[in-house]
Amino acid sequence: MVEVTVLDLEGERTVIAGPVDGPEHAPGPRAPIQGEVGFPPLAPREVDVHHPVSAEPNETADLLRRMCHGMRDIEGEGEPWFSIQDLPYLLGAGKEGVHPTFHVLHGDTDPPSRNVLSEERDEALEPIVLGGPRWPLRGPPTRVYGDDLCPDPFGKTHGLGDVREARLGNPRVDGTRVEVEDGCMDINRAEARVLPEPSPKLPHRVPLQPEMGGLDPKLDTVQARLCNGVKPLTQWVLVKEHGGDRDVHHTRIFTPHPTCSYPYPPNRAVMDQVPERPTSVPEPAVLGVAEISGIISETLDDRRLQDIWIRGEITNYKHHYSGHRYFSLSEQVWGRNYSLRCVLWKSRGAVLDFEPRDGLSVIAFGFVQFYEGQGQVQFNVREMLPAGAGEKHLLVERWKRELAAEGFFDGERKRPLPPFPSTVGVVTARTGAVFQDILNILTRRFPVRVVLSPTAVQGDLAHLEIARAIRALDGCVDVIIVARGGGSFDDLFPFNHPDVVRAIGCSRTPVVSAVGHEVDHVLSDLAADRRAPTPSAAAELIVPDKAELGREIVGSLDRMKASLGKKVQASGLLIEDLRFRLQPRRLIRRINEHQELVAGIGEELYRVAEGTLGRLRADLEREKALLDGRSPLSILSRGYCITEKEGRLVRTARELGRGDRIRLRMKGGGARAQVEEVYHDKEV
Amino acid sequence: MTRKFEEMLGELKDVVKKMEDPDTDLDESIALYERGAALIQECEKKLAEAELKVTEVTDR
Repeated sequence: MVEVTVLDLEGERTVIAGPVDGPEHAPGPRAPIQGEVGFPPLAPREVDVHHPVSAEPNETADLLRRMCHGMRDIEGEGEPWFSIQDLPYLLGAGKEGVHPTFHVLHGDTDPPSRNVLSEERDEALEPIVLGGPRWPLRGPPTRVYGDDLCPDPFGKTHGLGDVREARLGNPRVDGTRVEVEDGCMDINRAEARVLPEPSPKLPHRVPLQPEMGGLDPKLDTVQARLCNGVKPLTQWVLVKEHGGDRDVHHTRIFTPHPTCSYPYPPNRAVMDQVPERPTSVPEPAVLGVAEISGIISETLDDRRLQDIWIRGEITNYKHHYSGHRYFSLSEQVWGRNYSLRCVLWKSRGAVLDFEPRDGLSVIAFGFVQFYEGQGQVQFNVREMLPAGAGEKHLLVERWKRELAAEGFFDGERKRPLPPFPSTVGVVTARTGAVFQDILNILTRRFPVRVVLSPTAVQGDLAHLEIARAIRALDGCVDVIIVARGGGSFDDLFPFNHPDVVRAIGCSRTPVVSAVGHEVDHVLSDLAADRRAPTPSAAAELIVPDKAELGREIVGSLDRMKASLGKKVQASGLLIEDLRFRLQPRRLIRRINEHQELVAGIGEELYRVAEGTLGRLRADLEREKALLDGRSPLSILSRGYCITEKEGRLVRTARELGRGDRIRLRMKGGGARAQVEEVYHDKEV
Repeated sequence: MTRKFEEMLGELKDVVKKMEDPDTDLDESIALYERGAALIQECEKKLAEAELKVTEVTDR
């Protein structure tokens, strides 16, 4: 079950549970898109390399048209929804004449979210006002929205299945709102960094009104609108369902709530899905002025009157001694005079960079309020610019958006500067102090080859010349400095021009932008690989200091000497140690030790040999006696005689024959004899 | 400033780093020292020789 909660201005909650299914919105055959409702069809945005989209362009255009026509029948079913993955494409889809602005409102009643936010709040800032008469919602809403600086806030998270990681931009705190421009925000945890007050020169900021927001704690709901300027075309609610095994993200489309009045009629077919607020309020007979004032104030708390730019001519200008300024903004249309009371408080007036006077045409940013004490409707001016300059500022902001969308300001495009450039290209005026300053710094720090690409640095056609001068140097030098001295916003204006920004962005050679003074910011600074606050600073940035290098080189010598000395000393100690260990006394002692050892072994050997020898001698004697007893010669002494024939012993009579010569041995000697006769014993 | 200067400075840094390594032996250290001293001389010469040359893009 999905529950979508929409809060209206009075904080009344309208709960739409489950698939929205009204009688007006029964499923039916798809109606032709073209000409269905009175909105002009939107052309699809061209797909460019910096923001590739994977959706079919036709499909995107179709989806967008359907959205703009009230989102009826997207899926041919009663419940119009589409996947959150479509969102980036949808957001980037409108181009021609429509600059899609994406706003995300986030309400979260989960206490930890608010804690995170308040902890990170900068104490120096205006405290975040929670509740209060302008915020009659249940619980303090945490509002985060991107502005049209970032036309494709989800561009960095293509293929996201989870909108919580959407990149929306730098968060800023503005009263009760948190505004996000460039950066990363975790919508789910509402972790928005809080930065100082927005710059007074951000006229593109589009207000959010509290009529949508304040969400059911069970849901993480993000509301978004596709806007044309401040006019929302439609809005949708992204719902994350909890529970079950997986989180389901899908998007439900709603046209504006009936309580919001828009400059054109919303699509009734879808509007009817949102139940009408009960209008039967019992009217008391008589109201007090305070009550009426409250109603008037509340009525004026309308998006069309809040945080808006107004163009007009200053009349009845009074600079009060208190420092506050009171005047009217006037306009004549068809001979009829229109005038609006204005107040510019002292604190806001202090940052004006011109002196307002009667008759001056200006554009002013602020909000319409009801001054209850005087019963007057007045425009509370927060920023004001002379009309001409103001429009130029707006033009710069538009260029900035467009060039950012083309990717020229992306951080990943920035290249490191070469550490030791041999040739430096300078794009600036031939005459004037800037080039001389750069040369002076280079001479002092590290003289290199300098190539000047002279150009006009102000004037109506200066941007063409500057761009050409940059391109002329590209590839011929190691680094390019684009420089101009300080000047007024108008003087520096060519450096905001897309021609210059593109020339810098497309340069293959790294570029340092050094335009104006520290406080001046131009678009060329954003496109360059490095921004230097001044031309002199740029020169210091690109070359190392010669003297410092010299010191470093000398330092290297010292370090080498030191480490060599250390090594020599260590080697000396080693040799000393070895010498000590090689002393002859030690050697003699070792020899003595060995001699003693050898002598000991010799003695032992002698002793062992002696014993063994005696034993052997005794054995020999015994064996000899034994042998003597068994000697054949010993039997001769007992009367026996040994007969030998031809040197061999004759053992039997058979060996003898008649006439054989034999030799006889007997005790005391022997005899030679000849056999006369041989006779044999019978029993042989 | 030339590419060569950058390379020489890089090499010099390597030499010093290697010499400061306690594992490098004395013979090698002496050889490194000789190399380093030569590099320093060359670097200083380059630094002394550096001069500003200004030209202007004329061919548009």
